[in-house]
Amino acid sequence: MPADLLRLENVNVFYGPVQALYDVSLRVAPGELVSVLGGNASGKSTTVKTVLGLVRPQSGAVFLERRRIDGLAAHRVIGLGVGSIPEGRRVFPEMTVRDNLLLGAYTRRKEDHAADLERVVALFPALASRLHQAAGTMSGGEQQMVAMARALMRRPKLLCIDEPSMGLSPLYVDKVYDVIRRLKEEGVTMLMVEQSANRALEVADRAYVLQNGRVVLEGPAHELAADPAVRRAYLGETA
Amino acid sequence: MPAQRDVKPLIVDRVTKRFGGVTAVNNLSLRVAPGELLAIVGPNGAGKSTLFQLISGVIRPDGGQIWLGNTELTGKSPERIAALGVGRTFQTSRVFPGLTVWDSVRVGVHMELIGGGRFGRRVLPFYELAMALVPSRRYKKKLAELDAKAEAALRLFGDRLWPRRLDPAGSLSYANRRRLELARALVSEPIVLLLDAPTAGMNPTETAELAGIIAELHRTRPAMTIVLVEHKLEVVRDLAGRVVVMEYGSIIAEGSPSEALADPRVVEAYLGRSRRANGKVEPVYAS
Amino acid sequence: MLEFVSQLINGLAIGNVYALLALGYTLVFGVARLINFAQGSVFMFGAYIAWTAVALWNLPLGLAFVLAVLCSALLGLLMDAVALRPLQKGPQIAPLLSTLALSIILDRAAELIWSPATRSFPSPLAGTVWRVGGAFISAVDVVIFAAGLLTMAGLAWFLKSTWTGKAIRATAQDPEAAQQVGIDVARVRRLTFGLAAGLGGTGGVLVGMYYQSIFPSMGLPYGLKGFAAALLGGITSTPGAVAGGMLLGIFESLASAYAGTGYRDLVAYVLLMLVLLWRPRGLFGDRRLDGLGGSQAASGAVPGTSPLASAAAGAAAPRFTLRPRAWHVAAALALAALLPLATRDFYALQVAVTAVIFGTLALSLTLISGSAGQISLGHAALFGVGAYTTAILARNFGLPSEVVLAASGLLAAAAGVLTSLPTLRLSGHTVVVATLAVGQIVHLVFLNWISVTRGPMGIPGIPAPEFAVAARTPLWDLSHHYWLALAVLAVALFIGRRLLTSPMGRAWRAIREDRLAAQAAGIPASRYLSLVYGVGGFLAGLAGSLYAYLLSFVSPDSFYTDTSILVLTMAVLGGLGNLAGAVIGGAALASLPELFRPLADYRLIVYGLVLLVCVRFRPQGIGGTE
Ligand SMILES: Nc1ncnc2c1ncn2[C@@H]1O[C@H](COP(=O)(O)OP(=O)(O)OP(=O)(O)O)[C@@H](O)[C@H]1O
Ligand SMILES: Nc1ncnc2c1ncn2[C@@H]1O[C@H](COP(=O)(O)OP(=O)(O)OP(=O)(O)O)[C@@H](O)[C@H]1O
Ligand SMILES: [Mg+2]
Ligand SMILES: [Mg+2]
Repeated sequence: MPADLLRLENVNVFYGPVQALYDVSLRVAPGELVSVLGGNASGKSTTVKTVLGLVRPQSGAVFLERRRIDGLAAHRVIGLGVGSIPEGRRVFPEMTVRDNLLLGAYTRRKEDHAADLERVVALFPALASRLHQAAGTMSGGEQQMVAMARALMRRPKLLCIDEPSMGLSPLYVDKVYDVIRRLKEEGVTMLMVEQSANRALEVADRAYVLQNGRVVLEGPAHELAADPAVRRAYLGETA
Repeated sequence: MPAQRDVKPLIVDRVTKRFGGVTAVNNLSLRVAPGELLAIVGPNGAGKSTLFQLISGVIRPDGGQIWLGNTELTGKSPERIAALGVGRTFQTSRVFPGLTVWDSVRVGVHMELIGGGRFGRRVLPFYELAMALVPSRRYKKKLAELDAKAEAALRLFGDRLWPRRLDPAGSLSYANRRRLELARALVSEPIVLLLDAPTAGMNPTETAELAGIIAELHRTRPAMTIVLVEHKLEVVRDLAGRVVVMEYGSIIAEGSPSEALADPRVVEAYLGRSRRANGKVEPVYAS
Repeated sequence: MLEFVSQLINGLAIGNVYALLALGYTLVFGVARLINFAQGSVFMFGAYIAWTAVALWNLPLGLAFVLAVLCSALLGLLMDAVALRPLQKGPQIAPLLSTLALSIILDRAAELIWSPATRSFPSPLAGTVWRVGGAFISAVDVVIFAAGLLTMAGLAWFLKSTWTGKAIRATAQDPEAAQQVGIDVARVRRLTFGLAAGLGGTGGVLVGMYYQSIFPSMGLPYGLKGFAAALLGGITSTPGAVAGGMLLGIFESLASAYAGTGYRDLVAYVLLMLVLLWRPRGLFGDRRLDGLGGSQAASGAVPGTSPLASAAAGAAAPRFTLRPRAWHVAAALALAALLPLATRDFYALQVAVTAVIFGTLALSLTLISGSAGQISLGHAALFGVGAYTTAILARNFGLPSEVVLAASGLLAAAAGVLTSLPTLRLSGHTVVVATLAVGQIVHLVFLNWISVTRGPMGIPGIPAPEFAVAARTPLWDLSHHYWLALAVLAVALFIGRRLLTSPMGRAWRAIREDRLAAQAAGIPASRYLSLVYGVGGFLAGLAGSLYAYLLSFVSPDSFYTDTSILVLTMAVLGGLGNLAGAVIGGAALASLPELFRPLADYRLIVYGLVLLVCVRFRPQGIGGTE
């Protein structure tokens, strides 16, 4: 069994006095696409933020390739080869689309990334004519594309995605999943929070289901997709 | 119960909005009948949100007019338009992060308290000051009534918001912030309610739940016009009586959901190939 | 005509100085969206380093210049370490307090090191003057002009085209997203501080060369001009800063030529207001983003005062917020009322009355800047209107104190509403500049409207308060002043509390959090901004009235921008939007310098250090932001 690329061990996260994650353990093997499912406010985004170092677990540990990364600042985690597509897009609103994309390559600023810029723009042709528009004035879906393209500029080995298809039209949802599939073929490891479970379980290798901050189920995606208990947990019915 | 005078059509008359080289809304005309539930769909960047910005007065059109019944909305300030009866949510949710959930909703009933627009004459600032300092019994009663409305709006979402009413709105999860925004728009009992992608960030069950709430609102408040921008087609099919499809700022198709979404131009521009291939739209809800 | 042209050239030269200062402000406030109230002190420091190098060590000017810039930049790094980094998880507004504390320490330290006296700045270029057409141009003008343009171009290039420049902008716009592309946000902030301080130092040396004199308190007057120029230009843009500086310089020199030196600043600030009314986002401000989302966009380029709009992602809400119940407050006031029974010491009572008055004043500002989120740098004007009204009505007309107090409050409220008018269409930083301008204008009116205010001489001999209900017995005794002040404070607390818990308070906070969303939800923002300025003005007017009665003397000096900044400091120290906190903050900051009197020369330094420690351990302010 190969060493995990990412591993969370019994992570507990608090926001002030409120606990958001309870003993969450999770692992992602190299090249794997792992999806995190769950209802609203179940702690999906908090899980991703913990990996990224945006929130610190009170106890438990996070490992990236055997290196312990909980407690590292977010920029250091990113520096270790992690890319992020944040929830709610979070583009830099007053900067141009081009600058937004370039900033995605911030950690690789000494390398050549002109080709990457062309590559990501080719993935999302809608951005091509908008490279000089302030990103904050883009439409919701266009901003989602900017956020995704920006993360791709990182050339990450681990990509953390929080709701990639939010606000996208059906055509672009397809496109985003094409991109995700291609990334997977190219060996990029991904941790993905996604609300359209059907789409997520189609592409994912394995999945975790969160409920009220706890992992209630985990397993191979196709098994979970078939398991009535998953649907129950996922559908949020109390068992 | 909404009074008879609150039944007004929303009329968008040849409205255009340009941003530099981009024509976001292009000479667009639209009439939404009182009590109608209209869905607007279209590719990303089609101009749907811009249309909402124009109707709610956040930005001004370069040409054309917008009317609510006999009242022209064009050029009026957002607060005037809100008082006249247009409530809205934003695509990127704009809650008041530092206010409690409870206070955030009560902001929505504020205009009913101070009057203006469809709530009759606006009270004088001095009266408002005096009532804030030493409230009369009538004023207190009014406040209690409004609080009850706000509570009802929060309870619309079951246990999702009400138990957290004393937490800051900024600490809600993404989808709950959207619900809060919807609650804030609803409490004012708008004549026209503009919903910009209300189900974004919700899973299939939750989407169905919210669609159910919207359907219920549509049933219990028959006079309220709802304009819904939505990318989840199942929601559109379930809820909308009529669908308008936009592309490049213009309407390219219009009709009942099945008609409008079957139009070849719509399939081309909006739905994309996978849906064309087998002629069947993948379910967005889990069955 | 010739006169006009040479005034124009003169104005351009001064304008260049302002432009240089403005660039520093644009970088910190506008581009990096950090707060640095010590920028003025840095620039004073730069000037003094250069002076020391030239006058004491006989170094050549060029070398001195480089040395000054380097030392200033180092000072900037130090300031970041002391005042910014420890507050990363606090509210965005917290650095206002720590940088202000640093500026107090620096100014005082400069006085101790270099003496408070004005020094003449040797400038080898001073003698060189050319005659062009009918006007004179000096070598200093040319140097300053070149330095200004070079700095502007360099800065613009840096921000637009370098990775670090982009990182600075990205960090300002969304620090959490910036971390997620791998930007070390803390490092970027440190760098910005260093760079801005270096710019400040450059400005300081050039100002020294231009005016050929420097003094330890020069940071405030020139700093204000630089800040105003930056805001005039639209604060986020480097060409804007330069244009704003030039324009301000030209306004000033034309005004002093044609309206008299006394009116120079008055005309300049009135014009500033007019420009802002015409272009609310400043000359080069960006309007494309008006419809954008979030409290960030709503507050413009100045950090919001929303308690959640925090400088860092994931910062937890403070564990403790001071929210006393009504009977706690009543008990505390009753207890405080016993003070005169404990001591009859004149000095102690005097300090106590001042403390209560400033507590009331800080409370009045915390409504405006805390609850409604309108950072005001002109609050002293409203305080002053109350004080002057009292002085005139009580002394010249002998009216009873009921009438005087009410009139002072109402007149100040009216002034408050007037202040709010230009700010209605503005948000964020433009409010700061509008209030700054109003503050300056009112101060200058006190100074120049001699027939009413007696100008710089002030109004002495204000009679003691005498109430008609108490048969107009004059309240000579200090303990009576004290009780009167406590009563007014109680009224202020009552009003503030009632309003904040009413729908009105909610509307204020909604406007603070997201003005556009509040409007779209039906809140008429302009009505509530007028109301908050009116109420805040009323309470400030009452405080001013008591202040006039207490000192039995008013003069324009008490109502200048430094007082406004002090009151803002009090409100921030107390926790913005927190009434009880503001009272404590106001009382503490008004009495601390008196308590430290035994420390003599080091008094202000210790005061600054205490402030620093306070904000270090309680960045949300004593009471916690609300
Ligand atoms: N900054 C914060 N302060 C306090 N509580 C928070 C904060 N952020 C999140 N929470 C709480 O933590 C819990 C988990 O939130 P999280 O954002 O991880 O949910 P989620 O599963 O991503 O939900 P959604 O599907 O709505 O995005 C929620 O109850 C939320 O209210
Ligand atoms: N201020 C602006 N400056 C320049 N272009 C703008 C501005 N605002 C909007 N646009 C452009 O106008 C077009 C319409 O945007 P709008 O937000 O209305 O799209 P939308 O239909 O809501 O799309 P989505 O489904 O992605 O939310 C987009 O291409 C957008 O980039
Ligand atoms: Mg989430
Ligand atoms: Mg949109």
